[in-house]
Amino acid sequence: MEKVFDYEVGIIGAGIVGAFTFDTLVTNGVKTCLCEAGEDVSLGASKANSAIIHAGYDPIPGSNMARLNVKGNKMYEEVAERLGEKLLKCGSIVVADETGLDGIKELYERGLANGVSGLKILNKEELHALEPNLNDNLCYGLLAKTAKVVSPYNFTISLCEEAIINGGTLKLDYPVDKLEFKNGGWKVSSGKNSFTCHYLVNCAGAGCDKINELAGAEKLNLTYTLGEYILLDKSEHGLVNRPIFPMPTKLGKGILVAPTVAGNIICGPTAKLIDKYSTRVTSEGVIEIREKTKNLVNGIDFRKAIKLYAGVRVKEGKDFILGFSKLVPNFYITAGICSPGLASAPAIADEILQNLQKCGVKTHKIAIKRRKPYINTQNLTEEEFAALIAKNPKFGKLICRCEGITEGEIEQVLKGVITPLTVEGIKRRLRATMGRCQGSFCLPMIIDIMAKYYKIDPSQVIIRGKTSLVTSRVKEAGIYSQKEEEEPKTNG
Amino acid sequence: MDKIKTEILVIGGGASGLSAGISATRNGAKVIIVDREEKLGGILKQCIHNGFGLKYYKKEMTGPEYANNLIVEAKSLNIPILMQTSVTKVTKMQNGSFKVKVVSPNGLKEIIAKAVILAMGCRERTAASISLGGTRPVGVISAGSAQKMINVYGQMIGKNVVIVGSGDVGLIMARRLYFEGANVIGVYEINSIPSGLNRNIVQCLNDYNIPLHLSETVVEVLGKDRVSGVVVAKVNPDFSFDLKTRRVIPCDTILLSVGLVPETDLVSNDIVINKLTSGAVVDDNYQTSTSGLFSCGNVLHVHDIVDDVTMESIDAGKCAALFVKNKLTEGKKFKVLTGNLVRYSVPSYAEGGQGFLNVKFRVSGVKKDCFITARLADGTVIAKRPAKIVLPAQMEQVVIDKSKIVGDLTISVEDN
Repeated sequence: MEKVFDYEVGIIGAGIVGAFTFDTLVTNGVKTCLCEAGEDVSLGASKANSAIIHAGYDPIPGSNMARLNVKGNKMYEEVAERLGEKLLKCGSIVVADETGLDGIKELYERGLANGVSGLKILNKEELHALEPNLNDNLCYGLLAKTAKVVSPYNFTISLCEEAIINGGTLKLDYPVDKLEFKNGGWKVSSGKNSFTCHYLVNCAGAGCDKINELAGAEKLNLTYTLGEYILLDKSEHGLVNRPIFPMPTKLGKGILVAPTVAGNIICGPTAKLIDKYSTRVTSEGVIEIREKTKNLVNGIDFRKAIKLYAGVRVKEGKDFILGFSKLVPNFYITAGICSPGLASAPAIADEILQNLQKCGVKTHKIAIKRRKPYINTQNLTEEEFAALIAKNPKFGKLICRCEGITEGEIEQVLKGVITPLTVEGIKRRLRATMGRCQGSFCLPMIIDIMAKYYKIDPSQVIIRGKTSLVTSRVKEAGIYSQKEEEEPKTNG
Repeated sequence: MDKIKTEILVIGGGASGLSAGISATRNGAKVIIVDREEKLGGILKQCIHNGFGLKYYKKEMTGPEYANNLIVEAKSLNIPILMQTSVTKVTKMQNGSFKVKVVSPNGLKEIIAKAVILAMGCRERTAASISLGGTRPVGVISAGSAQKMINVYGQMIGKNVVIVGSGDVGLIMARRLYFEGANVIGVYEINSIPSGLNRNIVQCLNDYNIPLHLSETVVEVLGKDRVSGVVVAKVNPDFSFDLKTRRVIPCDTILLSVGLVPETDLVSNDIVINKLTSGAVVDDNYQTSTSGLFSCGNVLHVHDIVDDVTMESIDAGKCAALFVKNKLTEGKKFKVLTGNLVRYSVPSYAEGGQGFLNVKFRVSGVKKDCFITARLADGTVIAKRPAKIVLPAQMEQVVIDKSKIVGDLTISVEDN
């Protein structure tokens, strides 16, 4: 008799690749469990990148990157529609000065070889008509109409939520410490907890080498390239209408200027090889971004910077590593998913599904239960907004003034499919604290709302990981207390 | 949707909004005040230290006491006040009135007002505005947020604290944290002179042996989960960092007190903004580039003491009241320009006539034993007063006899 596993497929790592794989398998009727070491989904590279669904002209023809980027790009629109996620169909432009036409032509040809549609070489006039704020030295551009901008962490969250609604299992705070192949399947352990699955997929991002090692699979030699960013206030919205790239180099796609789905502008990323995973922003990096973006766009006002952040591109060689392990059975590896990983993620997930089907995993398309997107009062008509407040007055109580987030919206997220246990979980889902004041007004209020909602002491309200901001209660009678002045305590 | 009509709508119920609302009411206008919080008083509510009111009330008070004086007065005048009410949009209509959309737990409302007084105060500058790099651990907090956490919510936010910047809120918080048992390791100021008032340096740092490091700043944040320390470095006169002097200071909390910015965002696309103050450009009636839209208090320019906010807002409230009664005389406006050592001045335009014009300004450097002057283009001095010292940290004022304003004037700091 065949051994019955807890799940047909287990996935380790809830980044964008794990999330797409999770959702794809679940919606194809595969009993799946996604486990994640962190306290929430989308805590690694998926929350700190350029947020661009690249068109696919950049990767070497014939590579995994080229194939999956172009295929993945085409899949995004349908997924965004289904999940209710924002997607800017803005296209992108690679720009070049008077010496750069050959390079632009080369990219154009490579794009055609990769099967990218919607490519157009722009002359100076066309370029500056599309992007009036570009540096005057720029003479040529490669417009890629199929490039898009999304919110990668919101996609990751929504995909995981859709999978859960449709029967998938998510285990958070589940750092895998032991993998054993037993009875034709894998036992996936984290401390005292464990589950079994027939097939196991490694989507652990920066931790994929360790997971391979635990499984006894191929040794991975990862490299880490730091990418620092400067995020500008929404007041700078419209500075560029689409991502503006310099000519790509061996190091990467270069430091770009791009809009975000929320209406901010990002400048970055740098590309610095580092010894180990770290998202430290360096002052050299900040200077480099300021200098290099000057060559792209005029009048970037860095006084409008509201956040500095960094992500890490985890690479294994020059291409994505994808496929079943040759050393251990039923173990699928996804490794080195750096750029264009976000664009490729739905196609990677689709390939995993196909490969599992070839191994005999039974699938059937299910009638997908739609995820209900969170209400964003900013997107409502006045009538809808008024009706919502009439039903629940908390939707009329503004908490995050910069992003227009109300107490009602925060509470709905606290009641969400994946309950955020951290302030940063709320931030990623709603953008509260993400505006120009960076939470200086609303952070104390959000901590208070969470403490009341979970009925915990504010010192137990977690900002991120396991760490809280509040260390203790203030002394009962403060030095300013009127009462104490009137009735001085005499201690001995 | 509910529609409310009034003569004057005041946005903000802190020191500025209450003072302006009271003044406008006393000058005969029908006023509504809206405020987004549950209680009136704005930031004063969290300023539980003393030192407020000496100039205006001639009496020393705490922030909440100062606010209470204004609240009592506003209530005695029966000024309608809408609490937990946030303004989402201000539109000037064809007929000259304003349509102001607000949201509150009671629903959406539209307020039609002949004039609007902006009194929204300011916000704190962030880590990114000073390009503070490093990691992004828990425990980096702006001084004002920390003040709210401790004084309003009763929550301590750390044990070993480094303060970046010597702004007044940071200095006040250094002392507050000391009282609550925290180890305040030091205040690091990038400039060679403090950003806060001297009285706060003395009363909040010196009295408690909290070191102030001038020309030295935090260049990097350390720590993975919670802050584990900072890297500080000395600052060269050209504001570059002397990297040889880098040293690590262990701490678990970083307070940022690196400046305040008027929160004009609600209307910043519709009016002319002074790039130096980030507040509106106003004339001597506190009227912005949009007729009927007035601005006062910290949303206009950041003040040092609340008494000055009150006095400015009383003036603005009176002007708005005259405006709605069509009694605001508007003659030819002359430019008020910045001269030697003057970084910015408010207002930007003024007219001649009766009474006095009070020009507020900040200087760009320190100067001792000097004169503050207002001169016409031909060099005629129309106001002059001696000053023992002028400092960027301290707002200065000069009073000008309006009858002498017959052309553009320039405010300068001049040698003795």
